[in-house]
Amino acid sequence: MSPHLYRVHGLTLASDIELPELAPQRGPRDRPPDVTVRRGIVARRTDGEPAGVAFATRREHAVELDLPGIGRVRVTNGCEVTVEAAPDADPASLRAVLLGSVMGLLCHQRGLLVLHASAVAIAGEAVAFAGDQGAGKSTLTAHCVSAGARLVADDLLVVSLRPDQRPMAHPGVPGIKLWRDALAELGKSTDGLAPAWARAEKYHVPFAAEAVEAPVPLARICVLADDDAARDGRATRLRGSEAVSNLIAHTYRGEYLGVVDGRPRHLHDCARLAAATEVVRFARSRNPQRVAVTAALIARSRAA
Amino acid sequence: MPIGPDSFVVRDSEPIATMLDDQVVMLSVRANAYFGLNDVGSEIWQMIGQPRRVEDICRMLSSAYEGPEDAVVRDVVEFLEGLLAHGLVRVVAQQEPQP
Repeated sequence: MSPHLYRVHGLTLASDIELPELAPQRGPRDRPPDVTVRRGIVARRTDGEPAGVAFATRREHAVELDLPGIGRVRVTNGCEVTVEAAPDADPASLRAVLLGSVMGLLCHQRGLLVLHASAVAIAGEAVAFAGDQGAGKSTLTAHCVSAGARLVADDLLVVSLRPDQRPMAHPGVPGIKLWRDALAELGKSTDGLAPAWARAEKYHVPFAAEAVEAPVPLARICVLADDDAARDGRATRLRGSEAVSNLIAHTYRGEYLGVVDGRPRHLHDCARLAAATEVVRFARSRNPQRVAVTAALIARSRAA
Repeated sequence: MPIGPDSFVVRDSEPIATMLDDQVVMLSVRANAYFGLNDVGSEIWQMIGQPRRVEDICRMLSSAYEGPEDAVVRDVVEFLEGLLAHGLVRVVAQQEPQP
């Protein structure tokens, strides 16, 4: 079977499993892919820990994830993904995990800096929105795209640091995961959209036409905070240890860093990124009417 | 061992530290935690790369910050005891040679 070829987070990916959420790899295919995804057998965990949580075990350069209801996945050397899906695994849920936790682990194995953030491009520069689950990253991002910004990434943002250039935000999955009510606020219906995972009220909304295809210089990282009084959004610059600590705290699947011995490198990378971009606390109202206004101001480079 | 004005303290070699805007952020794998220091904490951290007497740290700080001396001693001792509790500093007998 010839694998499907994709491009995401600055990596080329050849997959036995079709991943329609991703952008197809265009252009010459003469170089081997950075990452291969194959179905195979992954050893069952033997440590006696209870099931119910994602868990990583390390064997040499491989890390295994045991994902209840999904299956088991082994990630090796940041380039090989082996998937043994549970017999009853829902395909959308499996893909959500592959493009989420598994991709996060793979990026950490490769030593990439990967933030728990969404990002948009405005006038050729990227603005990232970092926050915990439920902080409103995806909703704000979708409204910015509706207001004319380009999509860079949703939920998982890879940033590359090179000594001679600005930090670059890499294009992620060209879609945004949105709850049903957030879709309604955007004037979109759920018709024709696939649930992001089994029985979810959250939908994967493709934004391929609005997504960037090349890395964008990252100008600003907004750590999202709720404040109904900050009507159109209020940015407060974070400096020093507070800026670095916020990047550490908003690292995607930061718990995997310890598994791959990546924490020392990651600490220095967070300090380098905080020195090379603006890190701000961005307080804004979550009121649905205000979100659209705030996003429109961001898209015109007026707020965040 | 409680820390007093006559104690000598020195950084432990285990934590990994980085800096931004003269402020220190540390990772201690042993303590399984990150630590962010403010301006004064970062200045103290810079002073204790070699064993240093607490009294001397306080004198250097109070001349820079013009705070009342006993308040500075109390704050510095409390700060250092916090670092000690997390294994980030050691109390040494004198200016012991580094191993």
